[in-house]
Amino acid sequence: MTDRERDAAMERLLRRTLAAEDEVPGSDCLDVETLAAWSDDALTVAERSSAEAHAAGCARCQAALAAMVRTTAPTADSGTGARSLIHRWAAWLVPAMAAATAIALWIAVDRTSVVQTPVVQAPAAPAPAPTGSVAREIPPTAGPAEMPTRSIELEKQAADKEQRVNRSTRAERGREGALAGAAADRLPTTLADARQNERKDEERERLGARAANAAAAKAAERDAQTRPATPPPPPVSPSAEAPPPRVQAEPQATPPVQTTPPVQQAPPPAPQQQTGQVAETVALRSRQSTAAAGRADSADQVARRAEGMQFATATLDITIPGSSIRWRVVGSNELLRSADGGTTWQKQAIEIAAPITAGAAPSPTVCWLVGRSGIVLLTTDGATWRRVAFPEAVDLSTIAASDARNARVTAVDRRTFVTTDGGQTWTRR
Amino acid sequence: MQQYEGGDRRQYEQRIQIAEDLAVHAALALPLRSPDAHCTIEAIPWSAGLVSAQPQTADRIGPDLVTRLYERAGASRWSLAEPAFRAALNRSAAKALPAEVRGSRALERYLESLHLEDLALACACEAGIESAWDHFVLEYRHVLYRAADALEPGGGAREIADGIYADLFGLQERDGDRRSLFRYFHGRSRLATWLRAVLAQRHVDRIRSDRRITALAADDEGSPALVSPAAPDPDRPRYLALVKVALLRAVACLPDRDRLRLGCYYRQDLTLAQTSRILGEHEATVSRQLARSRKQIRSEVERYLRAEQGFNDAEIARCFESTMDDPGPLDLGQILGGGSIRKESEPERSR
Repeated sequence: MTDRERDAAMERLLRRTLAAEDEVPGSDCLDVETLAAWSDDALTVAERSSAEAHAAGCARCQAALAAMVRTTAPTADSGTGARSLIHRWAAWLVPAMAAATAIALWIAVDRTSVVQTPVVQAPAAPAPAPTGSVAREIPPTAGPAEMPTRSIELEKQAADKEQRVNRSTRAERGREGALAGAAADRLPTTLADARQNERKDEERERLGARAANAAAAKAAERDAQTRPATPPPPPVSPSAEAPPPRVQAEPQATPPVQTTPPVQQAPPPAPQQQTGQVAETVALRSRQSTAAAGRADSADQVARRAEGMQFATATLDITIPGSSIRWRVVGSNELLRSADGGTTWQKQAIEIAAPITAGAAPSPTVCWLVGRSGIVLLTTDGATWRRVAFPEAVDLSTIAASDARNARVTAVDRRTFVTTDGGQTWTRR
Repeated sequence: MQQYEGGDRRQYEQRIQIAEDLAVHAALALPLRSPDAHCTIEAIPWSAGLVSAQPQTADRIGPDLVTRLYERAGASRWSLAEPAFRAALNRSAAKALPAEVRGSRALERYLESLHLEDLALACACEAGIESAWDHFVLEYRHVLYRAADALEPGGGAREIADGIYADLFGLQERDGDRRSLFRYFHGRSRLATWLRAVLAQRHVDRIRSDRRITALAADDEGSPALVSPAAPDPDRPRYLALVKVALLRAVACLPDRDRLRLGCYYRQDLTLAQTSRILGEHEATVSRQLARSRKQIRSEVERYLRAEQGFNDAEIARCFESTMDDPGPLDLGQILGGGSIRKESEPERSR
């Protein structure tokens, strides 16, 4: 057993053992005021030390702290001191640099490149969702006559306000929640994975900010222009010489656009070559909803589109380090393959029954795809695909594979399934 | 309720209020943190028995300070009476500061550190001022519901949020007075944070009271079967138990902060970012400290197996290998034939 394997075994054991141990809470559990003051960083040093000493051995208080932090947005002004000076500094510097870069690209670059969507996440983990029952009335424990007479009107006003808040902050929360949700989704089995996840989060945040600012710049420019409304372009044809994965061009814009290699929003994690076992390539889901559906751009405008502009569909890129082979899932039912690093794409003959959330390509001819409802797809020759049976119809969030036989799949509920025979049998870990 | 005999009415009312506070704390599953709560309860429930107590909410704040804080809080916006605001300040000071701290700079610093606007709003809502309640509903209703949705996206926690909402309004009455949950907000944190804390604690308590042991799902027909691991080594359960015992001993010896960090990350399944927010550390620090703790635990486990169990390197390796497979429920006491190091685990407990 290698040192690394022993570390992994210890980590696994820590998780199981600590989760199973549940001490009976003492009589001095943290009260609500202490929990709230802790969250707002309002405890004195002595109080904080005392609270930590208690919480260190009290599962109930730890659970309460965990529940508190789960109800807090990652970048909410919770008053904690967790954000370092670097983060505060980066909070304004990154968007400023992103905006400057986008403007410089817009002015200087005249290309017909295929744009790439910035990566956000595969939000498999639950995230704070806007209420679907906005009109829900609070059931009074006593008779309705005891509630304020304006309660219904207030409820409606509150619901309207909540909807406005949700709409105006959804994009920002989505980005924030993406980081938290993606982090929550990816339950790292090792701290090395955790560090990789941190790097991915930071990269995602930078590129997301850049994308947002570029989109804003584009929207501002479009507002000053008049465009004829045209239907969206037809999907990519396998016979196209250089079919861009996402095109919003007028139908008469026939000359094939020159593409540049798509920008990688987040580099895939480096293969763990030490053991030769670790599978690789967790692809990242990117999604950008277009706010200008129906409005078409000229071929020139499409060509000048910078990173992070609007897209009509969601895409998933699966790359192989050191190889020009890559796959791309477009929307929910289209799979493309490129042999030249993304310059040209060929459509794959495959019927995708459910949305794909992740993929792994351990070699140029082997690619695994996983998605919702337990869908697992596999190709071993780079062209023909087959669906691999999976024991449960559960949404799958990540996959890591070392070859066509060995793969590890993680579901949204953080359960892990492993196969060593190409998906014929699965073992839950 | 027995009548208070002797003393002035003010002391009597204060002691009644203490009894109410304690009873509400019990009802809301909010145990008192400080053992020196300056009171003892002779009989519960609060509707009976006499409470012997030291005065808790004596006025320790000068009138000038109260006026200044009242203005800073913007309490006049809600037409909140200054005496009511002063009483809230006194309650807050009484809870946070020792009784002997009176009229001192520490008291003034403490009061000025409070979230005064939120405290004024809470006071006004407790007093039943309609404009304050309207404002609270508009500004904080979505806070509660969003927090509830974050805890249970399916909406399961909304019931708790509704209960809190009703308790805040004070649907229960006693002797003609509404009892509002706002009374227990003392301004040390923001009102939104306090609301989330109430929700979080009730949510946790509900989960703990409803917790059941769930077994791993059996194989389904028609789908690829989950392949059970190969027949385990007969020594594996014992190896696994020894490793667990060693691990628990090692964890128990760690400093409080390390144990809290481990608990947040491994027991509560929080991410590094979430753990860092609880501990007030940078994520990289959390990651590094977890790695250090894990290394320390592993060293201690190996030392225990080598020194106290007499295992050699090969046997230690087998012990770690035994943790690779999921052993299912494990009764450490039965396997080891003795008491566990920590409290006895419940039989057949599984995650």
